[in-house]
Amino acid sequence: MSAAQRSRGAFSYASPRFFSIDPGQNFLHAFARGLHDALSDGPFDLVDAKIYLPTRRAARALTEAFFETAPSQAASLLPSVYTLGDIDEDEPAAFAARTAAETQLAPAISHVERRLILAKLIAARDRAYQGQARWAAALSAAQELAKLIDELHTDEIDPAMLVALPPENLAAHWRQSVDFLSIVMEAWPAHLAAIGRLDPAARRVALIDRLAAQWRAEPPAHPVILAGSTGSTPAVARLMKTAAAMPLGCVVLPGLDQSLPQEMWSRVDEPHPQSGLKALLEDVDVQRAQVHPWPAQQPLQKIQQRVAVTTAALRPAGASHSWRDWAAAAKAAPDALKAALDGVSLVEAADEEEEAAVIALAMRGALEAPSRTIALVTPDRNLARRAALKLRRWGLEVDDSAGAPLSGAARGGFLRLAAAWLTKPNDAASAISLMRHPLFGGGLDEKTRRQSVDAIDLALRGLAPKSGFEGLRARVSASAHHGARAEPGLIALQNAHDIWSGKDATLRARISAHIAASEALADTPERSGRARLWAGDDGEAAALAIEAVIDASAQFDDIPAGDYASVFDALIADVVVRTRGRAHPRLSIWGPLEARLQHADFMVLGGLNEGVWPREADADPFLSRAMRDQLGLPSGQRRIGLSAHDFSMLAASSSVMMTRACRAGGRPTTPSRWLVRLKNMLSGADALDQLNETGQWCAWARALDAPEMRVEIPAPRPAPPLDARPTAFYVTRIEKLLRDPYAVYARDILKLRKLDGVNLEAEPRHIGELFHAIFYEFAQSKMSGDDASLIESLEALFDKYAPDYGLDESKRPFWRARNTRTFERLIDWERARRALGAPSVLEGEGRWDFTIDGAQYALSARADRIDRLTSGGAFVVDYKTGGPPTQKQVETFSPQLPLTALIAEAGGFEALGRAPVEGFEYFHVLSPDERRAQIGFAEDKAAALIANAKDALTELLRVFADPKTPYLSQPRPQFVDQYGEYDHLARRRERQAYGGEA
Amino acid sequence: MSALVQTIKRQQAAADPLQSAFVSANAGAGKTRVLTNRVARLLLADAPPDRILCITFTKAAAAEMASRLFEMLGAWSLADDDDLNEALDALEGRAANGSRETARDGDALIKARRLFARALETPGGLKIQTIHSFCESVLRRFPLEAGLPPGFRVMEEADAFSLKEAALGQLAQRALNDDALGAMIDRLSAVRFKGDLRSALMSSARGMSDTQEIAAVIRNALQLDEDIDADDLRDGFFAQIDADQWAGISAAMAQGGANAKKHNALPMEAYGRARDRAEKWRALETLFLTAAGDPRKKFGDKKTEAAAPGAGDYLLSLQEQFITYQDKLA
Repeated sequence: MSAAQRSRGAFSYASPRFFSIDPGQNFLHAFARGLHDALSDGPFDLVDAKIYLPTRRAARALTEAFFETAPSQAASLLPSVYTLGDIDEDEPAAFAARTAAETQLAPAISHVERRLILAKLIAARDRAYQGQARWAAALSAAQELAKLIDELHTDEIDPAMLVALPPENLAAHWRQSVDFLSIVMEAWPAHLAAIGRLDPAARRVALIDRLAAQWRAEPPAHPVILAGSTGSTPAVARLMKTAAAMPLGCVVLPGLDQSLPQEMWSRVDEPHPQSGLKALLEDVDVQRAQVHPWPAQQPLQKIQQRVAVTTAALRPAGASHSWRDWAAAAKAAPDALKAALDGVSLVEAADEEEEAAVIALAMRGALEAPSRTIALVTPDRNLARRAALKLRRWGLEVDDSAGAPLSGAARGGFLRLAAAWLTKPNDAASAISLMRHPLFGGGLDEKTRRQSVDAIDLALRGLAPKSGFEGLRARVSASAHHGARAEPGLIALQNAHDIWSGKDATLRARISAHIAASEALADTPERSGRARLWAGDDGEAAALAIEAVIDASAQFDDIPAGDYASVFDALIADVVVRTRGRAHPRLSIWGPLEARLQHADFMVLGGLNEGVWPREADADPFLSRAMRDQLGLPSGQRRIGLSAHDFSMLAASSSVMMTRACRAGGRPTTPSRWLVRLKNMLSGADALDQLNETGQWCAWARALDAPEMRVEIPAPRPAPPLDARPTAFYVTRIEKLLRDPYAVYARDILKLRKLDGVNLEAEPRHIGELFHAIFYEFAQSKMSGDDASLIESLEALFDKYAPDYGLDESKRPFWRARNTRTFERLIDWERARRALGAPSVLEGEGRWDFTIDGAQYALSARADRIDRLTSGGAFVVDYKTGGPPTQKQVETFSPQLPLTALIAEAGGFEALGRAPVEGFEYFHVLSPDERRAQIGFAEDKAAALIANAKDALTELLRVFADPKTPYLSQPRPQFVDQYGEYDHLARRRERQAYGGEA
Repeated sequence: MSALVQTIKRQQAAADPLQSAFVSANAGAGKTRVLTNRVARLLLADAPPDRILCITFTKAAAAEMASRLFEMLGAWSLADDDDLNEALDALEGRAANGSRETARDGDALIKARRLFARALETPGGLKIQTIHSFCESVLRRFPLEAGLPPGFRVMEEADAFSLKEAALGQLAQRALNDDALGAMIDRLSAVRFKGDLRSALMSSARGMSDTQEIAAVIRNALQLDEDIDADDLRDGFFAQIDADQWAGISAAMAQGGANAKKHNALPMEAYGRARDRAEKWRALETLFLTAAGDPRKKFGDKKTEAAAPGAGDYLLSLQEQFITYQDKLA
């Protein structure tokens, strides 16, 4: 470009004035410079110009660009900049406020109000077709329906064409869908007319058309420039055509490819980067050659060479047969290709994590060069978040300018937890999560709050609380350990629950109650919950979103209380939090939309996988792809073309790194089609290596996290001093000491206990406790009455206790038959026992103190039952709900009953006194097999076992009385506990994985 | 003809889209290549890329196949005329002797070179997918025909669990008022499932095979014998064997004396390895019965009992049931 040409102002060209700014140029800078030039020697000043840009973001950036490119230091007034809102569908068109055009149009309906009304229609449809409506699903579908309505407006398609879709080609649900849409398309505009509102997209089209009409009627006497838009909607294309023809109007396109030979241009199809601009030029009836290069561009020879490479790689499929010619030419001029690829790199990381690590590393590295600006551009918000988190390693804060979902932000999370808990107040998991959330205050000072929340957490572990808030309260209050400390937190929950319950069922009443309850839950003595909840970017976003729902919800249906949490989740699902003011001045993270017209010295294009970039077209739930094509709605291919344009513009930045992950979510991925093309083409010129920097970058990323050395931890051999070792044992702990001394060490010396989970189903141990309770009460009875009445009384006991052990009504029928069998057996057994004696100890504690080698020991037992026999002897019974031990096990590793007998013989059970034990027995409560229901030992055999147990006990205690004896983890491989509760502390798995028992 | 040439011929035949073929070959023998070649030949014959469906069993295989296809098409797009002709000849199984009967014209080569970009731009992507995702897409396209709500989601395990809970809760609620249903549940409660009736039903919807097993046990319990064939009956017995427990005991038996190894461990291992019902049943016969067909008197010895206490008793009780099943089958 010669200096003479550059000095020629844009307005000196003949109309229609269409310009293009090349890829690789800093678009807004070049634009601003050109405008300075064009207006410098004319009758107009910059301030007279009116500029129309696609987005507000671009408008803001243009202001800066004007300052940065100003030819002199002298302050100048800036032109008026307006937004067309044609790229970002959420952005309304914003022209001069209160122009004639604007005031004559009805206002747009709020997005939320429209969504709620459409959701009502969808719910009515679901009731008609499926018999029931799910509000959360209806609200999500309403969002899609609103999008479809906007698309119809934007692409100016008459909804009446829906009816014309040939029905015989449609699957049943598409027929239903078309029927439904036909109803909506009549009812909805009628409703809008009645309330005097417009669809936002319809309003944008009308506004743009009125502006165009105004310009045509009376061409403005000041410069008008439309810049940066690809004219992808018909209304904007018309406006461009009008502007370009005006005496003082011009249009500046982003990156029109004028180098593509005409033969290839004619083959440009929808997925091609230039397809949008090609369609525009056809719409406005302008030849590609009639478009002028924007006058004030920087000469960027290197970038032009690069663009030639990407253009070749992305050439239309119909012209893709001649790559070998390109490859031959490139091979002939290797230096030129090398220069073209200078500044481009490609990294194909193993997975998302590595990709993020490489991106962070590259961004951090690029910061070293002073004043260099750096941006990550990716449509994958998770990748953006990962990379931002990795950058924190170096204290770098970068916010994703595409925003983050409110539902995952602190305030959004708290509100969702509150909704979940209010909807189901006995759910222990949501109660605990809510109270553990940093925003929870409950009006309590920090110390009280912590103590109380810990207490409630501990008290709620175990079986699921019974229903309602009362169930929760009852469970916590019943806890002897934690009840008192828990009370303040419980009162806070009670207050919130009182605010919530008993209100109207309307959406508005429910949201208001939810908000009031959440505010109360967030209260602290220092700051009100209201102040804490609505502060910060996420708090503000939440407040705005909720206010909008409350405003729009007057006419909405009632919401069943149980559905509220899912409805609230659906309502805020799309709300995005954009954080401000924390961003590093030279680092940015953008989505492809945000990145349009923006510039950075170093760009990382992340997530280049098929389905991510280009994004897979969302399935339209209302129309099939074929139906959309028939209606003329934008096809997936067209959207891919727009994405390809983004990609080709970004790839022209002076320094670019392209990244992808070979696996995502543990599954293999497919590389983006653009990468596949580029790689294939470059491999034809043996130049792929010049691009591929995978090995180097991934090695650096891995090195960053590589451990300095690997230490193998030997199996623990704790040998605590004698005075720390336990000398008082329950009989059940003796078995533990035999099997798994480490468990005894962890529990009895370190005092570590495993916490229960929450919301448990009844587990075998609960069933065991239940039957113990039943048998305990039954054994105290007189056993009067016949079998039938006894069974009845046992069943009554079962019904009385079952709910306390997690067996509610819904499980009873499954227990009934089994109970009858169990109880029949119990009665027979009980009669047999009573013929021989009477229960003396029931669930009783016994203790025997003794010395070995001068050391004091105590052995205790809680006996299920000990009978005093008429012969004067004692008989020890243990109820087992699980499988009882076998005879062999009793002799070696299950000394529970012989040891209990030992205590009894020593007079350790007060109620029994000193008595010789004549036998003991395991009564298998739930035995499926009559013959194996009891495992008993009597007389000589029992005496021998008791004597054996005493010897073994003495020996065992002697071994552990040696301070050198370590408490090993499960030292006997043949008697391993499958689920030792302390195996993880002993790191057993680790050693099993490496092979060999240590 | 050498084995290699033979193999290549057969691969070419299998890759001919005009014939249907069933290919069974060892890993690494080139099955994926045959499939890729077949797709390439379909494309060469002008089949629209979005009308070709390739189904694999795993996501990894689908990704592998797609990448091989694009590798092949990518190489074509860059090849010169001779190389491309040769590649196409090899693909189509024509003699590569230089004297082609019907030399390809330039257009055919151009078409072949453009396939790479065309296939990449297939609307909705080339359909190389797993059987699961294909079935899901069919259900999505015809939800009402399949009796599903449009826009359905595939259920997560936790959701399935709570739905089953709710369903069993409703069943129980009904059983409280419906004597016939109550009686049926009572009767089924006497059956030995893995765990009790309720947990058996909870696990039943995990997969079809579980459901069939439980159905077989239930049919047995309700003595719907006339309906059951031998397979169902055997399934009912297999269902009572817990694989982990079985493997544990089997391992213990292998630590015993010669008799325990031969008569207990070996058939137990054979059962674990068996691929069909008949094989499983034969293994059980060898385990529980002597060669003369009498029940074995004991299982295991001192050593095995030390390694797996109670194993002998367990096998004795299983043997008793096995014999009743044998009687029913006879």
